[in-house]
Amino acid sequence: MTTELRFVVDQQGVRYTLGKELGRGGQGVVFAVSRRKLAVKLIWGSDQSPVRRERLRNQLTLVKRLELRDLPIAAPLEMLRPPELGYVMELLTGMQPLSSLCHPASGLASGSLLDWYQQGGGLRRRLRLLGRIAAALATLHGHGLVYGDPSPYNLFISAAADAEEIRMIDADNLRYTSAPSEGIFFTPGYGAPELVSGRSGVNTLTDAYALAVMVFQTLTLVHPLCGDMVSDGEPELEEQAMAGRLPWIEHQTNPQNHSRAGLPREVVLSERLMDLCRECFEDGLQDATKRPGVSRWVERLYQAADAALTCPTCGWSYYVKVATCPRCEAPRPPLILARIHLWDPQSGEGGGLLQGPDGKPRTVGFAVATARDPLLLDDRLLDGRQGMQETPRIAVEIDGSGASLRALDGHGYELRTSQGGLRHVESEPVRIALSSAHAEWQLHIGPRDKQHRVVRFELQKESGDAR
Amino acid sequence: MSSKEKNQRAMSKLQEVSIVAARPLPVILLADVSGSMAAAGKIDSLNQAVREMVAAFAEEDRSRAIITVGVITFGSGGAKLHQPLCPAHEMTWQGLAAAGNTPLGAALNLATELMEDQAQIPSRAYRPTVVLVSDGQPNDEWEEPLARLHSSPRASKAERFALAIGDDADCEMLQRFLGSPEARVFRAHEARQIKQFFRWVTMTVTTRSRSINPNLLAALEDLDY
Ligand SMILES: Nc1ncnc2c1ncn2[C@@H]1O[C@H](COP(=O)(O)OP(=O)(O)OP(=O)(O)O)[C@@H](O)[C@H]1O
Ligand SMILES: [Zn+2]
Repeated sequence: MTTELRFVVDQQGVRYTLGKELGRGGQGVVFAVSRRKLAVKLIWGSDQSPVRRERLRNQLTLVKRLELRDLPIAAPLEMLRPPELGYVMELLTGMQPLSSLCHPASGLASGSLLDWYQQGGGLRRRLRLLGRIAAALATLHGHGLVYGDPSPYNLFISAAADAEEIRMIDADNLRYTSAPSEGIFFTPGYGAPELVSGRSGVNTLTDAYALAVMVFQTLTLVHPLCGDMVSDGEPELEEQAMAGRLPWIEHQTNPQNHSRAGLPREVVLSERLMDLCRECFEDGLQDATKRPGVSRWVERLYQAADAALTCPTCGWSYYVKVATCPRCEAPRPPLILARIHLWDPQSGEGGGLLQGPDGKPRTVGFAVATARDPLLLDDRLLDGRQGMQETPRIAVEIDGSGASLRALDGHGYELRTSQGGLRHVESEPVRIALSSAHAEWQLHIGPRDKQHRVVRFELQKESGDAR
Repeated sequence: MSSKEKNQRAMSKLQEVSIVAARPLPVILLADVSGSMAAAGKIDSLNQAVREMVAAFAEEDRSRAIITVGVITFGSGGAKLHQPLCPAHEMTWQGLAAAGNTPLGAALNLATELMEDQAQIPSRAYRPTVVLVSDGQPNDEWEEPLARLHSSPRASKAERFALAIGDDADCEMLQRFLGSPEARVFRAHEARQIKQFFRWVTMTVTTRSRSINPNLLAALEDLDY
């Protein structure tokens, strides 16, 4: 019996003593290696053929060749020696599957359900984790690879609610986009309809589908295809739904599969996220080419996270455009709105902010800071780069009726006003007074004779506060 | 609609949030508790093996399926619902005691009734798994009850396992219970093998609750034991 194996040997002849079983899935069983930060995956089954072995070898080689610094994956290290089929990899510690944020214990009353949602970091952390997951998939796709089986059971997140690491497991699922679709595995609920029906193998758009399901489910706590008729019906009806034969639960014209379960969509999905969900689950359900790709999700998930703030009264996190907390109705706290603009060195005399058709400076992004939500301006906001690294460069904190800014990366940045005011942001905090009337201070991310981003800060008083 | 009204709508919705519970995946054990099971520590091995199986089920991730376990015994006093279907993680296993003869027919009837009863197994449940364990010859009329089990709409879809304990077990009856010539009756001659059988059942059920499609019966060739 496989589970009674005490040790395995890798191709270099190194022996590993198997410890605790960590889990098993459709393809294999994973053990911790005794006294080492390693895990071993043994692949099930009778197919020990050279072809199968060669395929695994290719997949692992592929992963090893990638810049792992860029790719948060439990790194495969060595193949096992026959008769075993499997590999040794890095052991994940202090992490748990994303499913821990999608599935509360059954039977929780509404209030405890919301408490549980909040304990997992609420809306803001969910959005940031999902953004990172999307970014990881985008990185893979950028290398010409597909993940194959994204699911809340294969994507791991920090167990601590104040940490936001992510890791992918199941490196043996990765494959080139062009590879023939042999040995396809997917997790029920996360396989695109064309996979479920066998019409297609895995590709970037089946990955994008799985991501969309995870986003919708992690935020609303309901599966986008499991409306009331499906969850009350026989399992066979769910199979129909998973094959894309029923409308999704938020279909704009066909309410047949509507769902009463889960969080109100407008509370947890920004309008732009909801648009992507519609694209994916309406026209994109059967026609993969209509589906948004993962990079569009990266952008919108991060944008949504940047727009979320935490209620100082109850701790619920919600979107900035809402005037009172959706959970406790407390007014929205005072906040700093940081708008991101582009500097055009050619504009006017000595350069100016790039303007939109309306004659106002074009806003390319924004983020909020409250007393509970300090703002870290990182490469993504300051350079528009969409990568896995998000090195924080400038910290912004609300400070009475002003803001305090501090550089975290050892560089210096200029803060200017149009009247010729000038301050330098370095490692010591700099305080600036803010008014809600007009955003005076401009934080320059580059020299004025080059194109760069500029951040302007506005103070928004507590909602309902007319002072 | 003013933004205030919008909020109040959201507010009232945040007060009545509910989620959909995972579907139940029922596992029903039909256990022979006739007097002969008391010999050679058979009943003790069975109790221990079932306890381990229930414990393993209780550890399973309940977001995909909630494994429920029910036990029907047949022995002295006829067939009894020893343990009504109950989620494995909420169950305290009551050991079985052996006495009496082998009223299998009555047990099969009880099993069919249980599986056809929407109140006990809702229609949203995954198809049940039925495990028959016996060490002897039935002493009541069992062929008609078996035919009923095989032909009733939901019971007939169940995934079936059979364990023959010792040399006196009626393997032909167990084979007929399985229904398909490819399905195999598992034979146990020692305590170790009873445990092994239940580990196989455990693995099949748990794999079923998480692989490609929990409603498709797991392929036996893929399981090592
Ligand atoms: N590197 C790791 N560190 C810690 N735990 C791990 C690691 N890799 C896998 N696991 C655990 O083992 C379980 C099974 O692993 P994995 O998903 O790779 O198996 P699988 O057979 O490919 O499953 P499936 O294909 O159904 O997703 C995981 O759910 C996880 O709990
Ligand atoms: Zn609140």
